Amino acid sequence: MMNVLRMECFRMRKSFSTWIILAVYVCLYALAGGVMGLLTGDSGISLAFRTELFGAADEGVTDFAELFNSCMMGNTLVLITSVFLGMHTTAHTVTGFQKNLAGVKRKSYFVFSDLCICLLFNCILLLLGMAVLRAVILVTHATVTLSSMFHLLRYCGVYLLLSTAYGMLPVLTAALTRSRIAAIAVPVVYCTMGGNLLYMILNYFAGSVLGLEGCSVESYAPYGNICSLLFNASAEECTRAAVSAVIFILVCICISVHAGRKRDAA
Amino acid sequence: MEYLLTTNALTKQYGRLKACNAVDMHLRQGEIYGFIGKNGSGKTTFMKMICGLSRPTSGTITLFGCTGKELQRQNVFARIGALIEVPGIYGSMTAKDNLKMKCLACGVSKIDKYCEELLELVSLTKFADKHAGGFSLGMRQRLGIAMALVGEPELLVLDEPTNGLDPQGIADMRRILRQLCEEKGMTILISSHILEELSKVATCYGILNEGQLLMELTHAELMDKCSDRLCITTEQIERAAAVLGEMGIRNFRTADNRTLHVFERHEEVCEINRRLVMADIPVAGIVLSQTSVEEFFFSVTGGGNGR
Repeated sequence: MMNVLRMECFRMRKSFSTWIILAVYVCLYALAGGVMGLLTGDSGISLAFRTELFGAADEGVTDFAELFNSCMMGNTLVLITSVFLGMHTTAHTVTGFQKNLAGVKRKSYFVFSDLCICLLFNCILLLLGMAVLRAVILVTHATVTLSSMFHLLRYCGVYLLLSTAYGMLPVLTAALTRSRIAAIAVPVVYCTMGGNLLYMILNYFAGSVLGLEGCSVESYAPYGNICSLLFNASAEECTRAAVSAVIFILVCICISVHAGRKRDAA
Repeated sequence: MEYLLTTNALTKQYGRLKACNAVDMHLRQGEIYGFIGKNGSGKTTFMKMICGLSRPTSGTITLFGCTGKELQRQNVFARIGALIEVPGIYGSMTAKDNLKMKCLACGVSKIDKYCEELLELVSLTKFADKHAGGFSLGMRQRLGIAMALVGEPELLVLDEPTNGLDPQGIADMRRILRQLCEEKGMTILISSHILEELSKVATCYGILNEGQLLMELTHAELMDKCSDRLCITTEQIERAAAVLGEMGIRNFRTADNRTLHVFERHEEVCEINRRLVMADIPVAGIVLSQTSVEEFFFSVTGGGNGR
């Protein structure tokens, strides 16, 4: 298992796609952070306009965690994760390198290593996001404070679990379809439009057929929680999000391992 | 000598097509086994099953004394190095990085030195730091072979490894395979449709056609079948054999109840004929037969009509 993981980390480090994706992420983040930093900093933009954008602006002073939270609630990180994992997990099949790995004792090692890579990649994205945001704040001279380190760390921990769970969606899709296109397209469509549509349909079904009025499926789905989780969310909300993420990860692992065992090498 | 690999009625079916049909194959330790077959005869499918890349529909594989679930449990497939079809390499990585990846997966220590040795073996030292995406087909094949050799496998499975290699490359390949077999005691299963080429390196052969293993034979048996011979057809075969003996001809064999095969002194065909006639033996035919490995293959598989 550790040998496979070492190989996958080496591949992640050596592959062009990792660096290109990270560069795109940094640019997007710098842009988003830059806009927010300008709006919250001493940039000459009117307080009324800032208030309109952020809802509340105390004379240009913003909480770093809130700023970070508003960046995270977008689709950028999950989109980046989906594209990266979609490419990473299908690369052995696409290049035929998997034929060199017949000696690896268990096929499940590849799924577990994908999970570790996903976790590692999301850690890098979170840290990189924070670093870029901090740099942008310094450059734009925005006035930013940090109200609660505990809330920020808790938010990051839960977010990491959620984005890792979401990152397992391309792994699962790749295991089932063996298609790179599908492994990228399915999670991308899901986080852009498909997810919300699916939640609407499921909520309608739960309400009209099962009689569960006010049912909110998205509260129990990783992507739904990614969109709605706030940095100052309650402990209950955080626990629910974390548990739903862990369950989703376990389901993805089980199905992916099973599908991998049943299939021949391409 | 003990068999390193045997298969019993090994079958792989895709829908209605049986890519491999009840193949019973036997490979002894230290042999170079040449797998001969036309395109689509099931060579690659068979090799994939042997390497654990594909599950058999039915039949059994016995590898290193293990069979069934033991193969996975004992991690027997880790003792096999394989180059199946085109080499599986990352074009965006250098040759050395590709090798390093395989080394990491196999848990090889002192990776850098090990990779350099392998690259030297396949004459790719100069290209170690070049991206594999820019490699020619021959260079890719060489890299694929180096990848297959990572971890010192006991069984090396090579599916048409000479594809894309120039004559020098093919000669180098022969040298490498012999070296691996003789010095490291590696057993090699190699497929090719360049039959003359295969006959220069293999010690035994299996002829596969339409998913079925038609014949297994040793190199000596193949050469015997393919060497030049004088075919004498007569009804009095025992008397003819006696005449040949009187002439001092020792290297001959009875092919069937009407035919004798003589493997020496072909230039004396007129004298042989004269002596047989003088001994009052009716000779129905006497011809010099020259069968190439390729012709032998066609005669077994029933192909070669388009030549």
